[in-house]
Amino acid sequence: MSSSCSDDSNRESLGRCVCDVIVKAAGGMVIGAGVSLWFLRRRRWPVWMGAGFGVGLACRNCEKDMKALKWGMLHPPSE
Amino acid sequence: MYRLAVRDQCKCALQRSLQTTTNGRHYSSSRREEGSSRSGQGNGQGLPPPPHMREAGFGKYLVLIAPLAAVGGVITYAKYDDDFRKMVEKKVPGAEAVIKVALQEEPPFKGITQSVNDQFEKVKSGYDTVSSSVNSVTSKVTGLFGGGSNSDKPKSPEPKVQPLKSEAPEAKKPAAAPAAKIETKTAKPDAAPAPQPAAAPKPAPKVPLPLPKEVVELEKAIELSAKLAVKEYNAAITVLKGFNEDVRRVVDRAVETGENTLWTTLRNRASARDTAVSTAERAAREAQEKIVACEIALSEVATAENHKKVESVRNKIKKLVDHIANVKDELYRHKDTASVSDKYWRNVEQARNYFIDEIEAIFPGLKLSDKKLNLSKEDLDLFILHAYTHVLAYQKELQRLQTDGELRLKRAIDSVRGDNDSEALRAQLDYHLEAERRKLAVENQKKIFHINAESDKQLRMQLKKQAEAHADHIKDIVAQRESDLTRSFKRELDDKLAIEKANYKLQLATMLGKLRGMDAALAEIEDEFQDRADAERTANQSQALWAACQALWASVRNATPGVSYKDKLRPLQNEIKAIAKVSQGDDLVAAVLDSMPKEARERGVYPEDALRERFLSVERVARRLALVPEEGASLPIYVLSYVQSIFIMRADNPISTDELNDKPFDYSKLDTYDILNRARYYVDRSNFLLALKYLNLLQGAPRKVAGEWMKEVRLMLEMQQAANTLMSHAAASGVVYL
Repeated sequence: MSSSCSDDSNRESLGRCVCDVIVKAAGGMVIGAGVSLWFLRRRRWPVWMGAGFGVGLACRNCEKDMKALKWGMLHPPSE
Repeated sequence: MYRLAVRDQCKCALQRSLQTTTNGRHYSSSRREEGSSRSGQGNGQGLPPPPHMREAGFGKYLVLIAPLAAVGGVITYAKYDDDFRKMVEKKVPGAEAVIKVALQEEPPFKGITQSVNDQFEKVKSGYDTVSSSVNSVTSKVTGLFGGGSNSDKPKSPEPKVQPLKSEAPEAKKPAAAPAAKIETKTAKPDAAPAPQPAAAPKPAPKVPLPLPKEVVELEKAIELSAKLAVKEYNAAITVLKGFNEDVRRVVDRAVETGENTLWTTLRNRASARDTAVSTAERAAREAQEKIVACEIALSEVATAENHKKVESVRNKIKKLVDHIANVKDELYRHKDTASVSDKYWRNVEQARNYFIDEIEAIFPGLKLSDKKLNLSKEDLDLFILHAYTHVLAYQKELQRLQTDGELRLKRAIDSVRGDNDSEALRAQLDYHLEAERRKLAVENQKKIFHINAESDKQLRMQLKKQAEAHADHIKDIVAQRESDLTRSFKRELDDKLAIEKANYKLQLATMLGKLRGMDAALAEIEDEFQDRADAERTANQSQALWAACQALWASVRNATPGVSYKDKLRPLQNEIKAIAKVSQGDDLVAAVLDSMPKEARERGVYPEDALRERFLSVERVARRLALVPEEGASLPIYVLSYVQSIFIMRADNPISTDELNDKPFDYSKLDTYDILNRARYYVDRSNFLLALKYLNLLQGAPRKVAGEWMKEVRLMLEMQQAANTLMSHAAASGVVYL
């Protein structure tokens, strides 16, 4: 029941979003760092790009999440 | 912030976007900044980045002015180009208002609402102070048990038993002084007092009186002496007479009883008699002598003049002398008899003594003086034999004497025949008479014995008869008396019994009457009670219905406090079942119960307070998603919406008084926040219907969000309505019994 409650699902999805963002950003950063490390002679911008990519992905997911919620799904699909 | 912004100029776009999103995600509601500036800030994201600034000083101003310039440019352009304006309004939430305000089409801050800090309210509604009800148990003070043991102690002073003074049984011993059986000497001679010899005239020494010379004196003297003599003679006679009688009596009695002492008395009497006689004789002789002397004197004194007197005196003297002589003769006669009696009793005594001697000879040691002769049978027989032999001997003797006597008498008479012997004849006759008398006496004795026996027997028989008769008589009388008494007693008893019975019957009758009355009264009361019971039953039923409805209503209204609203769902099956049970035969109730939604029955209904709790979160989410349309939107819109919700304050008066007063207004002009405010207002005041109505005006994502809540509210309202109906019905049906 708790998940079906809009507020809670909202909060949940929000939390998920945040986690998502963090995780993906971190992942992006890591990948960027790796790329910069190994391919791009230690420039800083790949890290940020990677992080940015991650965040963008996370955002997309978030958006999907939110939208899905609106359709009245009991269990908004996790990532 | 601006420093950061300045620094951001040097960074790449990604970094910048990263920071801004991070900034945008701050939900610190403490920030109360003008929406326009924020939106301006937000707007800065969508607009192309400000021109690259190299100079720090100019950069500051540039940063400050650039957004403002951009916004101004946009607004200006929107004023002139409607399409552009439309696009801007569409893309940027809240641009409409800004443009409008900027272009002075509308007054600023319209519809700004103030927010109430619902976080606190949320917390507040969560808890219920459980007021511990103090159960003051009042200890019942029981009355003193026994109410003061006034149990009457048994009076200590016991009824003083009067110590029965055992009255000394004044059983005085019957001073039965043992009646000393005075051994009455039955043979006590109650004889006349022993005739004491009369005062023996003292033989006065005869002093020869000087003979009186006078005739009269002589006469007197003679008379005196004669009298004296006569008196003496008379006295002697009486004495003798008395003595004789005494003797006879005593002897007879003595013979009968056998007392020895009598003899002594007799002897004494005899001596007394002798003395008396002698004295009397002497006195008489003296008197006679005196008379003679007087006579001589008289003759001497006789003269011619007192010849008559003398003659008279002499005559008198003669008379007196004759008298004296007569008396003397009488005395002598008595003396004879006395001598005879004397002899008689001496003979008797002799015989007695002889008898005593004989008895003593036969039965040595036996005393006749004992009253009772304890002789053995043989002794008695012997005695009788002895006595009888004596008797026979005497009888023979007597016969012999009689015959001899007769013979002699005859001979004597014959010898002396020819005499005018009346005396002898008389003597002979007497003798014969005596013989005859003796014979007769014997016969008489026998007869007497016989008669005695007969009479005794007769007497006994008669006595017996009499006794029997008497006894019978007594018996009869007693029986009769008994019967009489019993009859009378019985009658009395019956009377008393009848009275008591009547009394008792009367009492019974009264009691019966009372009982009957009580019975009737009780029956009446019972009927009353029956009616009452029926009425109460129906009343109770209605009460039960009401109570069940109340239960339903309560469960619809609120549930257990302190529990999260998620857990407050309670299937109402029980309550509904209870109502159905209580209200059998009631159509309205049945219809209402049927109309209840199934989901409510099975799943249960969120009670009001749960819904209220839930509404808070619904409202919050709805606020956050105010800008988001129904189908969902891109993430930025979401973000914008969040940001907006942060800046939108809660209003102090969520509803204007006009609306409250039901003035018509255009409800399509209300935006999400307005609607939510109003809904919140009504939810706060438990007017879920109106809240529902307002929430129905929601559009977009908030509508979706509130949809579920609305559904629940609808359910709850339905149940409430049903419960209300039932309750009013129950109350109405209960009123009948008031």
